[in-house]
Amino acid sequence: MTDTDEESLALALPFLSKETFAAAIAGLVAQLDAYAADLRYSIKHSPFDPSDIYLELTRSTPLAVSPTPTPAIDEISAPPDEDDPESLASEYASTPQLTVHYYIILSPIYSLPTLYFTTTPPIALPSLYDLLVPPDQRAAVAAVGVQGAISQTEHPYLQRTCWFVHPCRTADAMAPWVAKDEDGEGGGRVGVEGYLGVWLGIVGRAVGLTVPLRRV
Amino acid sequence: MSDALRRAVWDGSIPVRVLLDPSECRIFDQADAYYLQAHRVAYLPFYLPRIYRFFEPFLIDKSVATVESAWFEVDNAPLRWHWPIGLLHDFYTALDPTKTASTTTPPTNHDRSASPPPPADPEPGVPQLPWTITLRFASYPHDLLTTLTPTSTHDSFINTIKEADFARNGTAKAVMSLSPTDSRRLFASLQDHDFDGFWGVCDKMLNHSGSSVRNVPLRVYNPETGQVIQGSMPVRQAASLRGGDPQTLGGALNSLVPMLFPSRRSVVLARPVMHGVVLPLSVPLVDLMREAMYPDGFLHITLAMMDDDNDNASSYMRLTRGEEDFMVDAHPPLDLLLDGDADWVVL
Repeated sequence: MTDTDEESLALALPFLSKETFAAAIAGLVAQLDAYAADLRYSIKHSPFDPSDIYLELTRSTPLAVSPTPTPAIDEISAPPDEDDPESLASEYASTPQLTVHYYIILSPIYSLPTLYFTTTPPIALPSLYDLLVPPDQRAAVAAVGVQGAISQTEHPYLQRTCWFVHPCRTADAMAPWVAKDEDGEGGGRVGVEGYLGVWLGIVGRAVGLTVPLRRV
Repeated sequence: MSDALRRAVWDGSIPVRVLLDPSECRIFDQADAYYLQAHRVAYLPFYLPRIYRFFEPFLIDKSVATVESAWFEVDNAPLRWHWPIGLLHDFYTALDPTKTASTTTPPTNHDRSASPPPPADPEPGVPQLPWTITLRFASYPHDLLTTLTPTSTHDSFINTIKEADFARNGTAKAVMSLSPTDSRRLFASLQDHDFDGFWGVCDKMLNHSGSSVRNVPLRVYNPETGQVIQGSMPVRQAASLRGGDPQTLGGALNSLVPMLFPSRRSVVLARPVMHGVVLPLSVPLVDLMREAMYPDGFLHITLAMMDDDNDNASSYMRLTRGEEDFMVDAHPPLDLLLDGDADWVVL
């Protein structure tokens, strides 16, 4: 095998180069039904190198499972002032929300998309499993590595702490979707444009990022 | 090749002075300083238990100031638990080994010298030894620092090992195929500073049958901007460029960070620093990896920016000379790194 073959092999799906990753983001954005998914998204640029792009998706979900038992309302706050509409609104209108910022970033080492996320308010790892990981996935996600597939690390561009889903299994998980037919014809079933849609179904779903896609 | 270089890297260490933040101290400003010789390849959590025990009598409220809430900072920057200590030091001091170190007399652990005595205006890049870091408990900077748990250092280390393995071979099979015993030993031997234990397992990964090392995982840290650039650099030069020759460190830096390394043969704007010494650009990348990588499998290289007048005046000359010197010896002895004053142990 020559060097040239090796290089082109390394960049073939499921692996992505900087260029094909940008095309994959464009493909995903074209399919995103942001209204139906109740999420916001924007394409961002690395502060260090504007040609490095990544996708940020933000979504809020009810904070249904309390990480810690919370004291009853009347123990921590004065009774609401009934003449003050804001006071009433704050007590009755909102169930606590968990806002999750997801970042889809290309790993230059793995040549694969990697999913980073932060939450507001910040929550601890056991609560992340309760709140974001679907029950049927918890055992599988927890079984990877030293303490599961979700680890804390630093955001590659924002220089702040965040969570990420370790990409060491991503290539194997994506391979069947991009594999050539057995006769070697017809190419992969999923191309660059549809790549991140499939990827979200595998990696995103594991941490609560499910996104309805329009057919294009 | 003997393992002299590996051992030198393994045994590299930094004298560290730990101060208790005055606000955490029962007798304001009066805690003793704790001195230790920290291994460059180790992580701060390895030393935390003994540091905590030392400061325990000085703490205002031990129920609040617990081991779990401890963190270190230097110049208002929290020290990342998951970076090797050598990298932390070289990054936060913006170490430039070409500048002369200033040392103070090594004190003992019970000298009362808690007030930080840095000289008036320490020149950037000049190491002030011992390296002084501050122990704190209040206001854990969750935004900037990962949470320290009993498994987090191991978790982050193994994740980085896998990443390095993937970079080298295109799969993480070498690390995945380690026996559970070997896998545990990899981290335990690092904690115990057991050279033979660690390299016994690590060499199984580096020489895994059925995979050949194709790339070298590399991270370049710019202390001035905080930027970290990582890459997986091929061990051989591209076919169009003296194809097949081993890639040199200079070639890799030129391709990964071209703005700072416009030449593959001469430093122009920045010097690459690792384990406290300036690395020669001509060293073959794969040899540098096998002999001098950090235990997590990466070459963690910090930059010493060449920003003084002398440097600028002569950088064009260096560049010109470098480009003329095209037929550079591609196989310089790696032992260059062990030469004379390139002292790995004391800066």
